[in-house]
Amino acid sequence: MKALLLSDAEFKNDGYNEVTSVLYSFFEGKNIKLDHIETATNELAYCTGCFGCWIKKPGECVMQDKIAQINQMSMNSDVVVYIVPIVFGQFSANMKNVIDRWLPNMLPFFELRKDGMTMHPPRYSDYPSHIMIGYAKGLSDQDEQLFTDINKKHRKNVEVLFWKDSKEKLYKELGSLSLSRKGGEL
Amino acid sequence: MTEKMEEEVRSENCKIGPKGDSESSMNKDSSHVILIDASPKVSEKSVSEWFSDYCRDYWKNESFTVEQINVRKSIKNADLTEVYKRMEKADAYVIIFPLYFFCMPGILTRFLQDYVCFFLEHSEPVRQKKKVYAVVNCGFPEPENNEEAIHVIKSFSEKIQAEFGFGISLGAGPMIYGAKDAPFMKKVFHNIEEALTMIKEDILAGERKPEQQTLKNVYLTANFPRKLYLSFGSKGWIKTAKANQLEKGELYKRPYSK
Repeated sequence: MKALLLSDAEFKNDGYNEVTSVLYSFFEGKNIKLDHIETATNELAYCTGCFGCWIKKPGECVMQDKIAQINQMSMNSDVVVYIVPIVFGQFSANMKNVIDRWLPNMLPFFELRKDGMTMHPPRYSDYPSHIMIGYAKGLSDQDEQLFTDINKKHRKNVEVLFWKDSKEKLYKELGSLSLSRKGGEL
Repeated sequence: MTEKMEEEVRSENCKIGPKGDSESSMNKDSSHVILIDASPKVSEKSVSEWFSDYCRDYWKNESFTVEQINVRKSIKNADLTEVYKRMEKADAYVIIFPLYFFCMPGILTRFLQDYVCFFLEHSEPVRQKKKVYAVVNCGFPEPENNEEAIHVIKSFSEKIQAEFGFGISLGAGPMIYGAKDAPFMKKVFHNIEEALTMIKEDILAGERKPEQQTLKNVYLTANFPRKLYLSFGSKGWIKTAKANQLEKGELYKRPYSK
């Protein structure tokens, strides 16, 4: 099995170091090969909404930078863990560029879901499990709930955890999650 | 944001400076509103840019002044400190952006994240309480998809000690813009203008009193059959791909398959 950690080099505080050390230990304990990519400010271009990844070079971003490596490794992992500094209840700027530029991995078309909402269909038959671990000092309940809703309300196959100053708690929560690839709706 | 988090953001992440010399306490005769267009699009006019122009034109005879800021051009061309100083002088922002993965696009996140750093770094004895409004558009026909993105702007407002007004949520944004002159759009535009009037009245009313009711978000979409909208959308992608010499089957490529 393979796991990929994606994190933001702009917010490397104590919480970040603790979460990273838990994850290294957790995956080592499970004998799962782990890669880790940090993204620094200005390292990834912003998604410009050109849709070139849908109608010019389907499945790949047309902008040449580290995103090709990130998406290649992400799509070939069993589980991808995003270590996310929470800003305004959502992803930090660097992590948002990683998320936005995941767009090539879905199709441009629309599908209507059972909950009455529209979504884009999957490009691949199956995907890695996605785990978001949010962290921020003094995170409000409101921002925590917002981060959960952004990730879970509209998408399947995304788990959300928060760093709460307890390695044991995070370890236990990670242990309860499925770490294998999943098919079906995004 | 707690004091601890403020300290952390200030010490670790602030790249915007320098401190001081704000002119935001200057005397003004009228309110000043900044329309912040945050579409990252480069080569075509976006729904957000169009909406920013629409607001500017709709409010051209009002008693407040209106200024437009384009986030992409500001980040690319301008000294952001100067842009942020202009923002400090304003009484209200209307932040207009497309939905990206159910929240703000990366480019707007960077712009506002660094603005909060500027806000915290700036020594300002008396800050005027600003009002903030959100206008979010998505390609999905259901405007409810934008709900969390509006909450994100509310959260940003709290970080700069501003008063959040409400959000205008547009489903089927590209159709509202593209078919704006069609008869079936009349009702949507009537509702958009009602919402802009609400913003105007709220700005002119000044600081909201605690006993006043919270303003509700406005959810709008094109008055058009959803199945037909989704079908047109899919056909549109195939047509555009063909213009790029791609067959329909090639749209399903899986470059990262093992």
